[in-house]
Amino acid sequence: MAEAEKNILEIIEVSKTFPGVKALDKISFSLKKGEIRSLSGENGAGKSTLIKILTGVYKSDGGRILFDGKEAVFAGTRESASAGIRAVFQELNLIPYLTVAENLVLEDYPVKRGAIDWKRAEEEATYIFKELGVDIDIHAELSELGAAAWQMVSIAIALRKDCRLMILDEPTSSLDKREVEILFSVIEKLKARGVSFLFITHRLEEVFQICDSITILKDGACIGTFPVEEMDQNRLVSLMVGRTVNHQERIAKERTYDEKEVPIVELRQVKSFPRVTNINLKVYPGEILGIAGLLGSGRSETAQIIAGCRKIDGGSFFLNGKQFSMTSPITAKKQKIVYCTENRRVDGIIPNMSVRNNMILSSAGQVGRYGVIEGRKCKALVKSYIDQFRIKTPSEDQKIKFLSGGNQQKVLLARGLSTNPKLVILDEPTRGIDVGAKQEILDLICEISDEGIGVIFISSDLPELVKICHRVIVFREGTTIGCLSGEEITQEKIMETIAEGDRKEGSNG
Amino acid sequence: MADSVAYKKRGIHVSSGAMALAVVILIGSAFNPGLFLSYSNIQNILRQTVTNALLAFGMAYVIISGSIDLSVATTLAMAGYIGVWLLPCSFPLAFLAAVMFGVLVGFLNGFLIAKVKFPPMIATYSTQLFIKGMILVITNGATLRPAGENMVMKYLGHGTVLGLVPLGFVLLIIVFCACNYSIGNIPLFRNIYAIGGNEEGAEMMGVNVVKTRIMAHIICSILACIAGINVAARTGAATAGAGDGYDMLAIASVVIGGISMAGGKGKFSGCFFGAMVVAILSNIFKLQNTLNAYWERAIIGIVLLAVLLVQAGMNQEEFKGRFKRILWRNQ
Repeated sequence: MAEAEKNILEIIEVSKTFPGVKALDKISFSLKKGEIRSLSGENGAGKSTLIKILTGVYKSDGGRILFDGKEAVFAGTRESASAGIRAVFQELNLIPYLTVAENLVLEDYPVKRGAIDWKRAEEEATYIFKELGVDIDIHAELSELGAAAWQMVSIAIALRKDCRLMILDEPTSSLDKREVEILFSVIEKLKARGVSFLFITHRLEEVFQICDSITILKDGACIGTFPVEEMDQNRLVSLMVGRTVNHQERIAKERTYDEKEVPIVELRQVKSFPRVTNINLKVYPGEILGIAGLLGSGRSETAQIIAGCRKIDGGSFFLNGKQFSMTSPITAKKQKIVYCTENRRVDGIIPNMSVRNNMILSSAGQVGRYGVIEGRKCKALVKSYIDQFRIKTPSEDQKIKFLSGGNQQKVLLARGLSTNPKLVILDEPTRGIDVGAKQEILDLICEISDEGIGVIFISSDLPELVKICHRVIVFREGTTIGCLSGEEITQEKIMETIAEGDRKEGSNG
Repeated sequence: MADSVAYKKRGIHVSSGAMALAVVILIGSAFNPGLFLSYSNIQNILRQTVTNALLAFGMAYVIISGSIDLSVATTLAMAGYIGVWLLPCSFPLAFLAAVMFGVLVGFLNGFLIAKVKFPPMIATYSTQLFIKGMILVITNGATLRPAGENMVMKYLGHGTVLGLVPLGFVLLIIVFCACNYSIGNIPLFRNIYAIGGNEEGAEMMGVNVVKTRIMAHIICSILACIAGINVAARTGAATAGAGDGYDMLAIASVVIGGISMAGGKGKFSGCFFGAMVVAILSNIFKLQNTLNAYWERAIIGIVLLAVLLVQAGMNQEEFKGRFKRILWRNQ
């Protein structure tokens, strides 16, 4: 077993300084062959910088990196990849309109007499996915497949080129529970073959599920490396954040329901092709209604129906107790319904606009007179939200794309709230956001509901749902199959409901 | 046991180019079968297709790569002049010189776009203005006719193979096969799909984006020059306005052929159909005398909109869903 005990990677006192910021300060740790190491830390702790140094995007200012016993200094991702270090990033760099097989071989086409040898390419693809134990149609166009498939293709590409250290940056952020299990089984398989992993995730329970050890970074310094057995979630969080965070406890206040209370929005047996077949739900003022379910179970589609972005093909839509036809997002806005999409980078922020202009996008009418925006009024509004939401930005003129995910999400929340909504729909608001900021967002959501605003909170992260929701509705294949409230809301109970084979048709939501 | 992560969505797969082709052939036949389907008219259509298709193939390369070329029309005209000028020396020399001109223009366009990072529209529009200006400066706008009869040129413009198919069309089929094969099987050209689909991703995967993009533009301009020789051969002259309007027709052919203007997607076969559709549309126009010639462009515009509408519909998941529902409603 001497082979397995060998360190594949040694990082010795690596530092990196950017103008004005010390991004990494003498980081040291080592990684064994076949070890899965969690790299934990808040945004800005230096994880990305470290990855970029390992893959040759940045050059370190000091210290040494030994990979497989040899000095590892790379001039770019191409060099590091050929040495055997690969990073699979959150935004996957694949070509959407080409097939799975072609994406796999694109980096280095098998060539016969100057032309691409498609037969060998397919054989290679079949072989690699069989090795991984993943069933995927290698002839399918990637754009037709889900996030999990993209993830698998990225891993397969790395594997084809004999990758020995794989860096996974937030690989699970867009996967559902079942897909995460598949990913983990693949990781375990590769681990058995001696591939080492640096695993970055904001979902802490995954750290404990898959990783052997944890290296914690904070403000560019290495706090330490711990075997996973010596850690628990609360200790990990407090080490990462540097203060104790109430991580798991339920913070939702109890809420009583009156028989006569009128829901803001009620859906009865709503259908919308495709994916939504039978949705029943009610959301009351001042309530946080959680929606749980696998990806593709119709959660986001339901949010879109309520927000007027999607038409219904059957069933009825009630607004404040009266039947209503929600025809467009503009109608929704008039009815004071706000929707924050799950895809923050694509559908949410306008990257090149300033924090201020992003924030007042929906409410420009209210900060002006005669259709002209009033600078002073608008500045006051933006400033009040920046203070209230503790948005970290050098100034309100900063382009939003330079903010961290958590702060971008806060700006979007502020954008929604500045229109004085009655109902806020949040689709995966904490995706890709670090622990500290996540907590702040959850607190904000609670504050919003305390003001009497209804909140629909969609999340794949069960602990979150358990933490803040008054009621949780469970979706399965486009149908609402259960509603949990109060003490019933536990992770186990939600999972049980999702897994239950027999559907409780039309249960009250 | 294998875990399943991928389900292929099902959709309607009909080549919009082939569909449009069928429709215009039907229209043409319905309108005047005797005239439309006559031997000489079909020959006319095929000859017209050659120019359209050459430009459309070139345009397809750049559009798939995520770029566009607005300079093909004047490149075509200039290549015509170069060809006719050098014709007295020898045909191969004239042809080679025209092609070299294409390489030059294509390299310039590609360099400006890939390396200097100019927006493709601005870069190629500037080249088009420059070339157009140079043509007028050099020729004073005069038409240039070859001094003597050149047999190759004449045969290229008017000859047939076995007395049946126009020679140009046969050569076009060869060009089509070469294009189709190259973009399907040669890594350098195959990468055009990659850079059009996700430039950043392609770069991360080690694709030489600059080289590939320049290559796409060079081929586009070369094909435009060959089209220029073809036009000169058919009309027996080089004129400053030889290519006017062809650029937009090329883009129309590409779009009708189902190639995505956003890049990364599309097939040359569709583009071939698209070029034929455009050729047939203008042919139908020349055969009738109810509407005057100005209507031609307007009708092509309407057809383009119709095709885009159908394509947009076919691409939308929601639309597909509704379509299915209509089909299944009575079950």
